[in-house]
Amino acid sequence: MNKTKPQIIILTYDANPIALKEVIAGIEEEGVLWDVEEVQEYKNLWDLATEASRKSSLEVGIGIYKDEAAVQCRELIGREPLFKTDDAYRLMGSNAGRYVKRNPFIFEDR
Amino acid sequence: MVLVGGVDIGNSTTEVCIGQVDDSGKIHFCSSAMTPTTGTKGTIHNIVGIKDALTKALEKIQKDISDLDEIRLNEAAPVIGDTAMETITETIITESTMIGHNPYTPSGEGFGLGTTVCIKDLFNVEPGKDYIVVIPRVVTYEEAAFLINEASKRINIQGAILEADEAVLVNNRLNRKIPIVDEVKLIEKVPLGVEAVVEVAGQGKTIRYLSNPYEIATLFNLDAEETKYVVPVAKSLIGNRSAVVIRTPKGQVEERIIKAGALEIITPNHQMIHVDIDEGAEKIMDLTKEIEEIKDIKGEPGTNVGGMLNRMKEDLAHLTDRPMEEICIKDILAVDTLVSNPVEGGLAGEVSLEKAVAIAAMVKAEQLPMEKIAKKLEEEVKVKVKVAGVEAVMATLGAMTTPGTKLPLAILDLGGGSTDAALIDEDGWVRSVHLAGAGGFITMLMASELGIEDRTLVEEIKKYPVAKVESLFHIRMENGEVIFYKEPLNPKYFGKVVVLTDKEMLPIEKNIAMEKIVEIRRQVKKKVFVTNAIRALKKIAPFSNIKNIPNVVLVGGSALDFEIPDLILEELSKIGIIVGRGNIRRIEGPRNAVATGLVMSYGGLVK
Repeated sequence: MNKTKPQIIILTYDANPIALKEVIAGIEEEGVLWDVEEVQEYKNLWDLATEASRKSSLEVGIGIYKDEAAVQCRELIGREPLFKTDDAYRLMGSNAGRYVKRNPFIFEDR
Repeated sequence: MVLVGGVDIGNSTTEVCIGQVDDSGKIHFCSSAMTPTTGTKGTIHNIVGIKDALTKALEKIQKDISDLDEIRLNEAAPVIGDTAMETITETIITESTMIGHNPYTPSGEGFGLGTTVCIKDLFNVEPGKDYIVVIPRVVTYEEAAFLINEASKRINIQGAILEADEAVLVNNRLNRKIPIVDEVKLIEKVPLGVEAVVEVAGQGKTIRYLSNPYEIATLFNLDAEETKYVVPVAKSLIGNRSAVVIRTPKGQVEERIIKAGALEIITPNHQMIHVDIDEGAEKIMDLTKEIEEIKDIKGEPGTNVGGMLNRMKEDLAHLTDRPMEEICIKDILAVDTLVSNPVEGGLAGEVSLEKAVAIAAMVKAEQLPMEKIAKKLEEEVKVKVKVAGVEAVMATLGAMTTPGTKLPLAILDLGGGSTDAALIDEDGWVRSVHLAGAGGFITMLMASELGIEDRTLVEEIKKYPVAKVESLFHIRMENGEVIFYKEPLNPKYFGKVVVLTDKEMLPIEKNIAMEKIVEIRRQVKKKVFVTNAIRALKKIAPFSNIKNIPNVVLVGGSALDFEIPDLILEELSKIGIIVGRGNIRRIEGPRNAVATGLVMSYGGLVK
């Protein structure tokens, strides 16, 4: 994985493919780059998101475990992830992109 | 030695000052306090607040109300200020002819011209022609991209209009990129089978073609007459990142001039001067300037302004227990403003800035029933209560305790409901005037220009600086200063402009740039208080020459504002007048002037 590319890193373990697809759609609509990596050993949602944010040169990572997804950013490591969801995947992806762009978050489906 | 309490009942606050007067008439100030006014100024409901404030002040010196020898109330100016607004233009789209909004993420760049067609009918249209495809939410971005790519083999798709927020997703999957506008809520209202242009501006830019009437004329082959009709369309699209203009037979967007009603100004010699509100604020103010004294002003019934003027008269009539005919409008302040109104018939929640005239008015009665309050209060607290002098006189007396002032001295009392001014000369004579337009008027104007309906929020935007939340850990203030936080801010603030009050951070949900908010805030404050400062000083100045007033002390609640005193100083220093926020008794700032004056007047200092 190329760490220098300005992209959001998504780490998955046993991820629901629809969740992944929707998260990516959200990021893409915001015009931000992304990369996905599937981890081989079990990691919980927090660890996935935290590690992803460490790997991302944009300092924003997303973890997806089964039906759950979380966004974490490096400045928040050690605290609760920025966002967590088990259904509004597209919105969460958008908000990850909006964090990168410093745009206000969207809190409900418009 | 006597203990005297001065009580100033204002529109919003009740202020008291406690002082000891010794046998030689020397005054020693002991303490002061402030509470919100209970009930409307000049009614017996004020007594609760008065007692509260007195108790608060006396507690500080370990005394209570029964220790007082005299309570002195101000003869409150019997004026009420109120505000209203008349919109004088309105943009109406009788049939859907345009979409102009700023979705967060439109896609593509440039413009496309073609006939509108629903995505479901893409394969049933005449081949070889140019089309704009309309895509409702039920079609996913993948399906939409697939259909457009397939259809592009036989027709030319020049642009797309989407209901969902998926412009980038669709465009990324197209073989040939096209301009796409998304988040069009009322997609079903987009007419099909008519000519339309979709334009998306490049990043960081705003649209160039659809905001120019001649470009619209070029695209749609319009003649001179038809071009005239599209001017309101072009005008309301200025500044957008993306837009759609749809050609319907008659270009049915119109800018309608609404009949806004009229004012009749009556002079003491029964002359009637008629002025239409839609002639604008400047015309109205020019006319009032020429009139030495206004006897009364009547508004046209059935209009907002007419309704407001009548309501104010009714309120004051009720309060003073006088017939309505005796209540007169003595001053108005008209200001040209803009109201952001939703465009009637817009498809994506567009707003358009409409012209409006905002009017603040002031009613005056002969006298407020202060004696009633005095009598009731005396019964309750068993201390002698006296109505002790005109508010303006007391305020100037109090203002004289500001270090660095000398006679003749003028005060500008910047209140919530009215702007009052008074001048005290070397012989102790006082002249005073009450003008319409003050803090409340500023709030109304800011609310309409910012397009924010929440008055409490606007009130805070008026009083405190704004900042932009740049990360979860830092904000940038309007003056460029950066503030860091140890704990992350609530994500709901992220990327937004916020107001920093003393207690909390309030997000401004509307997408307005920080610079724009600051500009509107300062403009409005100038339009009201700088204008009123000059109007008021002219009226009280010896020989009507403002230069005959060497120093002006600002008092009242709005003098506490973080920028209003500076704005007034900036303007008045140009004509060599010293003006600044008062500092009553060296410690009170611009507060407590009237209450202090009431204690001072115990010895009988003024004529």
